[in-house]
Amino acid sequence: MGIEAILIINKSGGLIYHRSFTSPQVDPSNPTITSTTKHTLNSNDLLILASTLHSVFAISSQITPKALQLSQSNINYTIPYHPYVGVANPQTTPKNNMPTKYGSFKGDDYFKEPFHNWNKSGLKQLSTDQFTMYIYQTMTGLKFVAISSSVLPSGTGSGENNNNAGANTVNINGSQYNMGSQIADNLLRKVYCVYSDYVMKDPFYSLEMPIKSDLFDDRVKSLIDHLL
Amino acid sequence: MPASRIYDHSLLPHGKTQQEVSLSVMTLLYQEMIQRLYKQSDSIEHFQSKLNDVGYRLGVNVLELLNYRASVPVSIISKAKDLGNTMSNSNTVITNNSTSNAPTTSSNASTLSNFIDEFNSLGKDIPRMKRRDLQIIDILQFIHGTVWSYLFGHVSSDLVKAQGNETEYRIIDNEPQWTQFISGARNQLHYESCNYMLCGVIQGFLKESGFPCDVSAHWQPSDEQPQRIVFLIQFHQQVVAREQLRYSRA
Amino acid sequence: MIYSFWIFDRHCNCIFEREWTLANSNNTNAMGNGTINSKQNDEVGKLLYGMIFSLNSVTQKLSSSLSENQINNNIRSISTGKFRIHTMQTATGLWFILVTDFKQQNYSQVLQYIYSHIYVKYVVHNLLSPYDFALNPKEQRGQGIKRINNRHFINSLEAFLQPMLT
Repeated sequence: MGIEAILIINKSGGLIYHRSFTSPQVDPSNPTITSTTKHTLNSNDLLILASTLHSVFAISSQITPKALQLSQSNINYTIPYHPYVGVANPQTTPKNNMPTKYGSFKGDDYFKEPFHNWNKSGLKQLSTDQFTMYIYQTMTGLKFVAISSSVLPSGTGSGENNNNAGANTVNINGSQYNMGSQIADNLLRKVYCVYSDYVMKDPFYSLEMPIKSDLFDDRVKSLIDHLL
Repeated sequence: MPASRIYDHSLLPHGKTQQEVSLSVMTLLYQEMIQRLYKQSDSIEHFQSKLNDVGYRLGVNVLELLNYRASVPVSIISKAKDLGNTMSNSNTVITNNSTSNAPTTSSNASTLSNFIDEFNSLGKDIPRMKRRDLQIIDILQFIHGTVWSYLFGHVSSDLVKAQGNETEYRIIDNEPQWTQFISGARNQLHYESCNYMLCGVIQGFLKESGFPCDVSAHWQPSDEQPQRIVFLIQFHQQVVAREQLRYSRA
Repeated sequence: MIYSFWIFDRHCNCIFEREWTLANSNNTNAMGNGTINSKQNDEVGKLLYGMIFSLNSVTQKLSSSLSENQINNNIRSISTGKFRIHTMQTATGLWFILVTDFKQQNYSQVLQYIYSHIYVKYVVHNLLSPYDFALNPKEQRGQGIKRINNRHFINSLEAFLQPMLT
């Protein structure tokens, strides 16, 4: 799963952090000029994206199907823990390459237990033809967004469609699909851990304002680097 | 538990268990304090001196406490450790038995009173108080080792004497604990200023033990340690002069 | 489990809506549970379409930054903590939308089948069905539209989705 970008949206819908992880491509014929074919989003587009996501959160709780409203079915909101998402695995990494302790990161992983998902009725995942977007919401309404380049496996063999085709063919991938979402939640929760250290404990950071901390940048970068 | 026991408890080096404070709580409190002082200050120098004053008071207290702790003989420390363990064990026994049967409770109570007699005053058990350090290098070693261990759980990264300047010494911390979440690269002056509380601790400690000095913090990052802080200690001329008079012949 | 099925036309109006409320009940009568083209669901439909429309416009913008080739970047599914929405846009600008639970991940084939084998057969090929469901070509506010009330369409949709309801 390649992470393209990480965004943080504050509780009033403002974009407070954005970082893209797609490295600029170097044109082999003319190495002095970095390719600009992947033109980045301008800040205005990003602000629109952030506020759209924010407003969709409010809407999505309104369109809960009646069957769910009536049955009050017990959906399990606990997200299982996946080991070593975004950190070095001590079994495969040599001892001297292990990251040192910093901040709340004491052991070999940030946390080791399943956690509760606060994002019950809001948008959690958005899949398109080209990317998948995962959203982790904290109890205080802060949203961590990861844009991943992985896409849903597209349905094949459309010619074979008959009455029960849909019901049987694509069932196998269901668990993997949820897996991606769980791993993204694990990763974004770690970004939240880093946020609570390097942003919330910075005396010169004012709440709800854009994050400009190189220490935070470094830690997020290291999380993404270890994911690949 | 008798009152004297409670008072003594904090004076014992690592009395029952090594006491630890949550890093998150500590750093959150620290950043709130910095924010508050920063808002109240007119200039960065004003802010530094305010933060220095807070640290100064801490330094004075640390001087008293750690010198007292250094005076406690090793035998007492080990005894206190055993006592701490048995105390906590007997405590649980008492609470368990108080509901079921009375006789064992009384026997436990008698052993408890024995403990109290044996250990009612720490002061009686200290034969000789530690003399305060008189030489510059001794007291700096004390800060580098004992004070840093007490505050942060490890000794400071380095203690260096400045080349060609008798009055200057440096204490280096590669990973300053209180200010580790504050970015040095974004605003160097702010980051350095945030470390002035620890400057105050050092200054308070030295000044109250008879070494008047000025302490300042400097950010000197390296590749591995982006947060590296150097505490520059400049002793007043009189300190160096006194040292030369007293010790140069020896 | 399928909760509801929607069709929106290119004027952003809901032209068909089917919601199953008691999928687990013993009532096997195809029309027995839930609603078809209910007035009560008008508001929900507007919110649902509004959400998909605004998210889609955002993802169209994002796609140009993520990839060089200018292929469409339409939404395929949207998940919340409780349910999942699957979408398909046809070349004529119709949106087919299915609201389901989490058991199954990909309903694109189901949507494709509904479009090609049911919608095209009973609605497009039906000469008596209107060419455009809006009464007025400029209609965009959800008033003055027809709904699909074709009995054959509803019956065969029902028969197709019945095995997937629970």
